[in-house]
Amino acid sequence: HGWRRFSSSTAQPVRIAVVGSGPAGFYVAGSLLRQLPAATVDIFDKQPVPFGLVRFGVAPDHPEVKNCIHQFEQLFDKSDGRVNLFCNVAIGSDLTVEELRADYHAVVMAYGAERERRLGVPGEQAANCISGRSFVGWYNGLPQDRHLAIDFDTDTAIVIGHGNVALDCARVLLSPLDRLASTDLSDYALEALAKSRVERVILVGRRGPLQVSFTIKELRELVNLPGSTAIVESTDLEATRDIVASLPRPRRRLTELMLKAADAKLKSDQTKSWQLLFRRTPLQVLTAAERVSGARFGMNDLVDPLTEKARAVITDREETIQCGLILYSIGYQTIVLPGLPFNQSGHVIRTIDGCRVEDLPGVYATGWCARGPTGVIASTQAEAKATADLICADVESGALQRREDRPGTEGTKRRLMERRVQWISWDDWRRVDCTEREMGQVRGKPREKLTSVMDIVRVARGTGGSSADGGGGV
Amino acid sequence: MHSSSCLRNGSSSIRVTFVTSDGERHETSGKEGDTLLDVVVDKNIPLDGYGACEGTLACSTCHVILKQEDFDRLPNKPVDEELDMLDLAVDLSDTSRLGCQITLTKDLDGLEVTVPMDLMTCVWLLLAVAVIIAV
Ligand SMILES: Cc1cc2nc3c(=O)[nH]c(=O)nc-3n(C[C@H](O)[C@H](O)[C@H](O)COP(=O)(O)OP(=O)(O)OC[C@H]3O[C@@H](n4cnc5c(N)ncnc54)[C@H](O)[C@@H]3O)c2cc1C
Ligand code: FES
Repeated sequence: HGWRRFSSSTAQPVRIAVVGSGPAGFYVAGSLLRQLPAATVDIFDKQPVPFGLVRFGVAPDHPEVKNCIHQFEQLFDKSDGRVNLFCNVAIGSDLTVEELRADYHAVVMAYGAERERRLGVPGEQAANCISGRSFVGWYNGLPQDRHLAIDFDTDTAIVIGHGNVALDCARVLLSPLDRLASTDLSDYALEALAKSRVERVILVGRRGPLQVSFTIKELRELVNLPGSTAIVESTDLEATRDIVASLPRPRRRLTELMLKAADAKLKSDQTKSWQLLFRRTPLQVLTAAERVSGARFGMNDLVDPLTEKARAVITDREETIQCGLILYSIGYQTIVLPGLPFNQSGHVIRTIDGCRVEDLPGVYATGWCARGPTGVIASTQAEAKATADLICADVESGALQRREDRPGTEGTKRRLMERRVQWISWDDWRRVDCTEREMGQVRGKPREKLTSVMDIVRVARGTGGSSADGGGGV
Repeated sequence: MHSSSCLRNGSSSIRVTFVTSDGERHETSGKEGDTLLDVVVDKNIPLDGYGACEGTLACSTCHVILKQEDFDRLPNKPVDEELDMLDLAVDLSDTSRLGCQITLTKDLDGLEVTVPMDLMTCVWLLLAVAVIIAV
């Protein structure tokens, strides 16, 4: 019964391209396939394997979060060939947005926000000053980051940023090794982390405790992490005590947990610690022999400190903290593809109604590329559903020009073959998936990811493969 | 997926209605011990993306809003981990719960819950949130 609303105008084929195979792409595809029985959907991804940040972002110790992949698998199992996957195909170079617009009735941009925001301070090129994005890519086996040079021969690491990615980085740095060994964290990363001397992680934010953007689940995990103790400067929290009860529920519970952590006795039997520092703006990455040796921060005052919108104003007070590793996680940006309009910041696709791309009828955008890099899978899913509903409404109203048929999948395959682009299909991915699980099994892990594009293509094509001890590595 | 065989057994069949925020009603039933998530999956209720983490308290896509009196009479109260996930739910309300944590009992026969995935509120809410937390 899912096809209720659009049954009258669904007989004619609708060919839809979705750019990006993360949660936004898969959820929009799923909803379209269910609501439009005559639709076919081709999903493109520039990575050789699907699932976007579910594979390359979500932390290895969050396997439950990755269960959404089962919903994505069902899409292929249940859609009678109406959905195709084209991984290893970058839109913007292997195929252009123009070509997709010509070949399909509708194009949905769902390609995320994958560039890190840079610190923009002197010294940031130093060895061991690394973006959280690269660090996450490295431990998650992202092909472009697997050779990242990172040195854990230091006792102190600074993580700049107060978002969930920052907490993920801190947790991976401080986790007892046996907690990570049974996850899908890449083998080479596990090996490197086994030699880590890091026992102190300092998380530095620009504003105060009421403006952190991490969420309570991630904070609670860190609070409960075995072997580590929390240090929260309670002076920073004092002012919140009086108002905490009046905050909206999510902010209230989050602040209460910080207060609880601040008030807790230090667990003296723990050798490792993590610390939340507030109101500091990074000014300079300090180096010794071209390697990180610390960071210099300017102290901020806050205007309206008790509101979400508090503004940081830098003072002339400064502070220097010694450390041997800096990870900065201050946000992601969308790379706006040629042919698409962008907003003033230049890092989000410009849309009307949050999902119709301005001035390009038939082109839509959803997920992080449309909204910017905020929110969890659940919010991305809700938004993708809303986008699919709007597309269906446009099909229904006739706004989506589809009187003539379009080449769709056949057109795409022809272009890719002409250009000798080796795409990876769903069946190809199943072979990779299977190999990865087998490699994981012998190591007591859910999977060992293949991390080189060449290995992936080889296994995908069934042309010999990476043996059980193969798989990327450094 | 697997559809349960004992559903037609009247005595163990508990009626549940899912109402989406655009007003659509899905009347169905489950058996004692099922969670609301089990019912959605077993009965193929077309709620896109519902239950992404398969009941492991890691997503909040199974969010439902109950009537106050139903909320009050649920035997199990939410644990911290459920509240943590609810705090991220779209359209959180005082009588929100996660569907994967609500277990059907005979007592709950006739339960009616709202699935708050209303499209326009979602889009506007997300845009508003994006403006607030943009770093
Ligand atoms: C480090 C990290 C950890 C996270 N952990 C959690 C968590 O535990 N729980 C949770 O709920 N949420 C988590 N999130 C948030 C969640 O990952 C996002 O909400 C969600 O992935 C956004 O979906 P998306 O599809 O818009 O983007 P993405 O998941 O990034 O998918 C975009 C896809 O598009 C592809 N692409 C990019 N450019 C092109 C191109 N030119 N051509 C073709 N394809 C292209 C990319 O390769 C990618 O596969 C995390 C995010 C990060 C960064
Ligand atoms: S299904 Fe994910 S929290 Fe209920």
